Amino acid sequence: MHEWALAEAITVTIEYEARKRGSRTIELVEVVVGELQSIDREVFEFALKELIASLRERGIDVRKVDIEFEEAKFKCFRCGYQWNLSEVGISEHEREAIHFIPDVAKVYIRCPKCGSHDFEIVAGRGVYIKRLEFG
Amino acid sequence: MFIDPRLYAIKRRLAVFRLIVPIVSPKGGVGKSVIAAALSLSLALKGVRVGLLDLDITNPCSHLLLGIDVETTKPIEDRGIRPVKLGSTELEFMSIAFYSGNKTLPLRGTDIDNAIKEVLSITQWSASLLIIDTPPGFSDEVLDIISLAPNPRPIIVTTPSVLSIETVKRSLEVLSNEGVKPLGLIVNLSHSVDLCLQISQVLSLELLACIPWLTNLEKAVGKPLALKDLLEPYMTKAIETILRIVER
Repeated sequence: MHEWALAEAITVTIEYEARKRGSRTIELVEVVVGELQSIDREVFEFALKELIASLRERGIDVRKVDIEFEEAKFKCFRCGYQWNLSEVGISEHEREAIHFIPDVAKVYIRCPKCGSHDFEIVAGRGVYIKRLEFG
Repeated sequence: MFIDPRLYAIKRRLAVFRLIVPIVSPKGGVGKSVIAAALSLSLALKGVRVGLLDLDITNPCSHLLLGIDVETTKPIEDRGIRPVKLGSTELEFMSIAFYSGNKTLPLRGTDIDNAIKEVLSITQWSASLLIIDTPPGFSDEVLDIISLAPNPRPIIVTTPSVLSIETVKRSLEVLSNEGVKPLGLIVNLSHSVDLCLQISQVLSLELLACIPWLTNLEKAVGKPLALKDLLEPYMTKAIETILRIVER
């Protein structure tokens, strides 16, 4: 499951950052998940919960995890038009490909106004950690 | 705050390899993809667990050389993605083409960097040797590998063309400044071994292979065994050098 890979990347990061700071407690982790990742929220949250529990076994206690889902927004480099994912139709097959590598969106999505593939993914691309609060 | 968890995941994913060999050239059309594919196949058929990564993000073509239909063949999803295994060999193969299809992926620099990090962070290799086919030049693909991979040992590919040799000279300076030590040199499309040796002396690199113009090459595209058989006789030293390191 790709959701497990994303969750694993987050917990590896938490562990590395905690050990770097010599901290055993993380009060809060804020994770942002972009719409283009098209993840199964339930699976992702479950994977994160399981992997954080295994962090505890290795002496790192994560008290709270907030997950924010960010809407995808695009801006055309050619004409400047801005749009979101619901304005363009993508097939299930295309959504699946984008789910693995969000940047392949540029094959399947075009600017609704001028038809260009040359656009910027302004928001909602991938997964990142917005905040880490150490105890 | 912005922490990119992919960077930490990549470290872990690439730690499985004993050796990472990017196939690098500043100029296009020198045969990097063909050499990367044939070298990977030769080593895999000698029992080495080899991963071949096509890092040409905007125009990947290694799958065409290997005869893999990216529309019908897909990596398996398993806590990330497992690369495609080529037939009964020990070769694992990964390319963005599995997701972009046989289409050009029009990306700017930042997007290429993002796509590379995504591929590296989700791919679960089980190989001990990673060969990377890079696009021509010295941009995100090469820079990302230099900064993300532990101790990469590039093989430099050139033709006898003065333009190719001169650009390799410049690139070697950058690699040296970055602390990267090339494994050696492959001279492609050369009519003479003496010429290959001269070029390797000029560049101060060990000559790993001297490959002539192969008239049957086009016929071997899409036929992995034919491709391997065609190039292998010229790449003995490259194969032995890599075997010595991975079997150490």
